[in-house]
Amino acid sequence: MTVSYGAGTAIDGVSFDVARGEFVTFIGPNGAGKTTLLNSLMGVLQQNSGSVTFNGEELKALRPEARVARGIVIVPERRELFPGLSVEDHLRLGAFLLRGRGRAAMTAALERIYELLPKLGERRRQLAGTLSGGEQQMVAVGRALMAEPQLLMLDEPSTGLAPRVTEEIFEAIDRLKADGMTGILVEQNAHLALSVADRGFVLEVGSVVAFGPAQELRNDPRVLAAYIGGGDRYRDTGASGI
Amino acid sequence: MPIRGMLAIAVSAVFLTAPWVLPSFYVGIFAYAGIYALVAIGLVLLLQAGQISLGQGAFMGLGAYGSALVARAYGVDTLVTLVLSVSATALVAALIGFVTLRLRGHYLPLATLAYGIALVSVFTAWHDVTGGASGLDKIPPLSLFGFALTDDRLYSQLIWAIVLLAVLGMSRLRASRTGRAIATLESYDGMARSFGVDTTVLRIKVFVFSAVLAALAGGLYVHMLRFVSPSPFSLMTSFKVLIMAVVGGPLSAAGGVIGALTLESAQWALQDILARWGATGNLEVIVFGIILVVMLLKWPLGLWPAVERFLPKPAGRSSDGEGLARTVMKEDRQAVLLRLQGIGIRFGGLQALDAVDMELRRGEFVGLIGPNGAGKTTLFSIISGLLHPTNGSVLLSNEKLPASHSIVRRGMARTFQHVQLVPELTVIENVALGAYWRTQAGFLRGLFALDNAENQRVLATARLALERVGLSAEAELATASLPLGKQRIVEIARALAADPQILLLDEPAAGLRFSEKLTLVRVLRQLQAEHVTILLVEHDMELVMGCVERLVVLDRGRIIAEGAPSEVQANPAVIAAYLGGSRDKAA
Amino acid sequence: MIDTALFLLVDGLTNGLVYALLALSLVLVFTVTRVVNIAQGEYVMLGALTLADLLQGRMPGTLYLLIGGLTLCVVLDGSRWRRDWRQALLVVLGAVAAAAFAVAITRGALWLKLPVIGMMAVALMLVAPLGVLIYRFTVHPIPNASTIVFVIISVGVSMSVQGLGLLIWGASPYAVDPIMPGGVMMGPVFIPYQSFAILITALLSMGGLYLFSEFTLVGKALQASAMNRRGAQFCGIPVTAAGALAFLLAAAFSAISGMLLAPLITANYEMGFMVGLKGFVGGAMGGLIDYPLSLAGVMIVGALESTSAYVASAYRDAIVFSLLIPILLWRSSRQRVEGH
Repeated sequence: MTVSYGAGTAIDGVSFDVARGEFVTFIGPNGAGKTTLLNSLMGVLQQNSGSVTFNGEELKALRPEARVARGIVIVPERRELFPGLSVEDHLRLGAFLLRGRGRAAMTAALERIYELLPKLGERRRQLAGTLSGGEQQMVAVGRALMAEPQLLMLDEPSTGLAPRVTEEIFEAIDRLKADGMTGILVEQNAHLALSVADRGFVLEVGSVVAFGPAQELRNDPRVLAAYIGGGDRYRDTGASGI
Repeated sequence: MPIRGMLAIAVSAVFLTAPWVLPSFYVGIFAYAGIYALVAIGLVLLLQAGQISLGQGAFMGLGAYGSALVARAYGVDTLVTLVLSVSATALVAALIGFVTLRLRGHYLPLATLAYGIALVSVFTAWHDVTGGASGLDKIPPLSLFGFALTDDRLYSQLIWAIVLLAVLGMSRLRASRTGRAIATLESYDGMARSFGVDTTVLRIKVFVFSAVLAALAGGLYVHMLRFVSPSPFSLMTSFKVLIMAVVGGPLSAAGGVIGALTLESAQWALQDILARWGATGNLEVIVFGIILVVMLLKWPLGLWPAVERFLPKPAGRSSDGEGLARTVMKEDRQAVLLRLQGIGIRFGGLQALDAVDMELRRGEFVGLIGPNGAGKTTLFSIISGLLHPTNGSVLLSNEKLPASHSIVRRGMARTFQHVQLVPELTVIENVALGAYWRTQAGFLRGLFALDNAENQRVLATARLALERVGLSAEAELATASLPLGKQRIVEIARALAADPQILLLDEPAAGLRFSEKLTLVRVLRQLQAEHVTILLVEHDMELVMGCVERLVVLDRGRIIAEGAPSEVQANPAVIAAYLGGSRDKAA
Repeated sequence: MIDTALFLLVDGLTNGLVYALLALSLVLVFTVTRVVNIAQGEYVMLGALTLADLLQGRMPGTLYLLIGGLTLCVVLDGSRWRRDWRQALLVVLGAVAAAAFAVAITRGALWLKLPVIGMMAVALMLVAPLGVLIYRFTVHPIPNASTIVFVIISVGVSMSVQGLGLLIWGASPYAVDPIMPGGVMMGPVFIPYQSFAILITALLSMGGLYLFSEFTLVGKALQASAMNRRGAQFCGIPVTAAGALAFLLAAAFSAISGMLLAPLITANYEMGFMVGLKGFVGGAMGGLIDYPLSLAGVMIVGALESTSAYVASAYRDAIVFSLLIPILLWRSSRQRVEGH
């Protein structure tokens, strides 16, 4: 898979590729353009320039639904659930494009998800609108997996969740990765993201400021600097302003 | 005199002499076109405010029946009855507006539709008074101070004089304080309220104005025809006027006139053709319906832009002279301007904020930071009154936070994370919105151009605000033509025009180039020197760390650290919040 | 007194059920596509007049509309053949097949002289696809337009369709046979069998929609598209198709309502608009999003209409449409409580 990319102001000339079975992560502070990147891979946002190819096919003209049909599936940042539908409905809808396979295949797929995320099994009849934040995140993950993705994109799965719940979700990601899932993980929580990914990219204000194997990035001072670093460039300008 | 003004005078002269030169058959058609144009102009204003009425025919009917019945039964002077019935219609419209305009979205069209049908069925049913479906004749003619207007040509001229005055008034209004506020109503309700516009009341005013024009048109119609019956005020008329407004386009009152002339001519032509084919009934509605759909799909701005392309650009109103007086502030670190106590808010299952306490003292420059989903934007919305917390209280200068449209009056102004500039307004007009609360000129003063001196001071204030942020060269440009970075700076200029004591900045540097960020920092430093209190939410840590005196760090809805930038940068809790703690089973 | 009350009850219930099908259509269309469809009532008229034609052994004029619409579809989609000729060919073949099928079933039904209920089914197959065509022409090109734009567009659709109705069927009224003629005396009150037919058909339609929404994956997908458009896209649900499906179902329900109503009154080209609006008045109670509240709303409309027809018949419409004001007041007070 090759993905090369370049769009406007939010993201500028980012190029990368993901190999089958690999998990890469994009880390960086808010506003770095991570979510924008995923949204344009998903076809929700139009990219201004550059190209994205998936299994050798150019994606540019494809609507989000068509990308799902090709195996690119997202766990969106805002989860985008259906508040009035049950957990199990969400999972079934995740497999909407695979509905031709019949009842048995659907049941088997549901069982696999309940095994990976047992809490969803307990809550299968509950409406998504009444779930806690962590449970909603699991529904979003489960729904995406039901589509049998070839490329799973996770957008800030830890946002707003308690550490214990985050841990549960990342354990599930660990297991998926062990099963050979290809993925792009966008995360603000750098340590967490680098603990599961093979490779990492550090984004800051729309461009990649550092990249490399996840192990090496963990101790790279540029990572910390990207989040809460510096201030000197603007302190200097102070005198002239007043 | 500008070319545009001379053209307007020339066109007006043509319209006013036309009734005297047209063949007599066309004089009537021309007069009808003028009556519908008046109603369409009202709808154009309503469209500009992002609303729509499907019952303008009924307002016409109310104006018509009110004036006709009273004049006929009691022999009251028709000028008096016309004024009375228009006023009564305004009251009815205010009531309908009050009921529906507090609700969002699609209720006004439905309510006006229902009201329109109800009213016309009353005209038909109340036989004893209205003459029922067959109507009443012997309606007295319109009399102007004892002079009865019975001459068709003179009457047609009067109608068009009123239409031209309405167009003139609307173009004045468009450039006034109220006109700028009306432009925000379609998509920028929250922004408008944060600069002091009571959007609900303004929506009702716009709706009432459109009803007044319709009622006036109805009155003129009935005293011209001197016969009144329900059918001219049916739904069909409401729809026809709607098509006129859409065909002419919502950009200008002149669009209403163009639409009325186009559609009236089309109707006469179509009926002529259909009659030749031997078709009976109102088959022209098929074509009208298609015109309406096609216009909206292909040319949603109507015909007016095609006309305006050939006109010179309108001259902006003068922004010379002094701006409004600015509040002089003294540094006083003892004075707490803003105090948050135990703020908590829940969305569904999510506790977005929990027990947040915070203070802003006069002259302070405070940064609010935190990872994604920490609750910064939510807290900002609470401080600016757009969200109400489940627990806790916000005190502004030791008083409870007022309704969102009154906050700016208490000295707090803000910018928005997603730029909220009105594309229909120029840069300087957008900035002038900031000074809305500092001036008074209302709807009528705008309409009759009685606001010139005040408006000039407002525009001067806006120009000075633009100068302070280094954008005076861009003042007269279309807002959408600016790059995003400059648009964000315009947002700051608008907040400055509000003369704030507290300035809330929601990610002002997002998408800015480095040079633009330097400008931003310079502006912020200058404001700090003027003792403006600033609360900054920003993701560019480089910028935040370099500017602010004090940082407040939010994580998962709670404050986890507070202090000078260097302290916060070294705080392990903050580092953990941003980078995440290590996992137990770290790989 | 009790006779009167019983009569009004039956009458109100019958009206309410007819409007209920409309309210159902309006809510369905609004939740999935955000269109406040002023033109929804026109399918009532089309259903009634198509049935009238079929029952009198004529090829219904609806076929002209259907074939005309398909032709326009071919022109609009076919003009993009340069980009994708396969798809264009598919559109052309599909349109021809659909037109041929429509003509064939109509001829077949006329030849077989089907009973009323069979003719209703045929009429349904002719009218419901018009919903999809109108969706294709008016909503599909601008899916993100504002509510106001869609309202105005639906006004245009309503005018055109009503005008076409006048062109095809003329201004004179048509009598339509009930599903079952006659009626039964319940005490002193005569209740036509058609009232029962309305009750049963309305309940079956609502039940059918409920079962479809709750127990099929496509039904769930339709609900999902209504609740969260983007979320639905992320599941691979084609949201445009969901919009078309909503328009199809809504057209079907409204047409059924017209075919049930026509025997009680008479059918003519302008009968639909008012019925549609009464559906709106009821639907406003549920804010056009809540099915049970909307159904409660139309029942109130039906009851009020019967009562006012009895007490002050000339003011019937005035009273029914004035009901919107208290309903909106009630909603705005609710909004205050829920919202800020």
